[in-house]
Amino acid sequence: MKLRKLNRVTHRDIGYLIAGMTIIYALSGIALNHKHDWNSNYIIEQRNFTTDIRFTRDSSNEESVYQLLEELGETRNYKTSYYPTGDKLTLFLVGGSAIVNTTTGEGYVERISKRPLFYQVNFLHYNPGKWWKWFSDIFCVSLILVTITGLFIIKGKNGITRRGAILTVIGILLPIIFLFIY
Amino acid sequence: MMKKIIGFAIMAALFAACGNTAENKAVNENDKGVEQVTFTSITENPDQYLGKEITVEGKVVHVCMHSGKKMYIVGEDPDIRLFISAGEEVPKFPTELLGSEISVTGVFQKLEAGAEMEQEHAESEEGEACETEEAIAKQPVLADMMLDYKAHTVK
Repeated sequence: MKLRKLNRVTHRDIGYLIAGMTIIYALSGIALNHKHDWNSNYIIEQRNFTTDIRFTRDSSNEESVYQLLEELGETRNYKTSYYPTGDKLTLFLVGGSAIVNTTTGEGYVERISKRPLFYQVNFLHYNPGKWWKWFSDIFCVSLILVTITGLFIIKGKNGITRRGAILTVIGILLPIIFLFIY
Repeated sequence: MMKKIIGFAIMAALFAACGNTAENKAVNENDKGVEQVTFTSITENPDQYLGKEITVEGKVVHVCMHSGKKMYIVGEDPDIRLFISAGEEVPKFPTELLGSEISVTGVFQKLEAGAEMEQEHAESEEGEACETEEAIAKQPVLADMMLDYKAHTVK
């Protein structure tokens, strides 16, 4: 098999194989780029409330907790409470939590649900296990291989010796410029 | 050809389904005779358990919302939290664990050993985790300790 044909076949077949993985990493990459702007893993819905109920740290606090749950309509979802030093009382609920400032009486109920697609791709991106680590290493090597073989697919004026060379150099220079900027 | 591809996809899905069995694993680990330790005994004698694989019970009060690779549990004293760090052997901790009483098994060790991982998690969580981490730093005990997670069961 001629070298050029081998190059094309390698590029084509590995390209097909890693298409899914590339999309997984690209999507989660976008999500992680914007992690300060939004939570890509979970959809979090909040509703605010204010209560006059007073809370204590003794055993009677459970009564106050149930009073608040009744007010919020969350009694059936109640799991347990958490009240460390400070003025923040957390009531853990099925699918979320209610957090109340015990000094001001202000609080919010938070509902958490997994964001479809992004939760799953982020799960994989964050390296969930040993086997995935090796699998994604193979993917990364394949990506390098597809990129290198891709450089030599086209011959002539659009190939790597002319137009291709200019675009490739631009692609390398851009991240280097950012390095200098930062 | 299409049949082969579909067959491969089914195999992959089965493989994925089988990989996520942290709870089943926990039962086996406990059967192996890992030392059961109370939360209080860890807080009173942390050095006694250094480097040992132990099982401890506690309430989950924080789960990392981004990486999902860390969580905190408390015992009777709500101000003493224990940092549970998931290594690469396990998938992320689900937020459904929040507020649950769990029995967790892992290797009890100094935080320095996993400092790099901890830092990585802290950066990824930004403000959301700061409150818990600041509180941990003020703890009289267990502030510099962690449990390198192996398995857990929900009680």
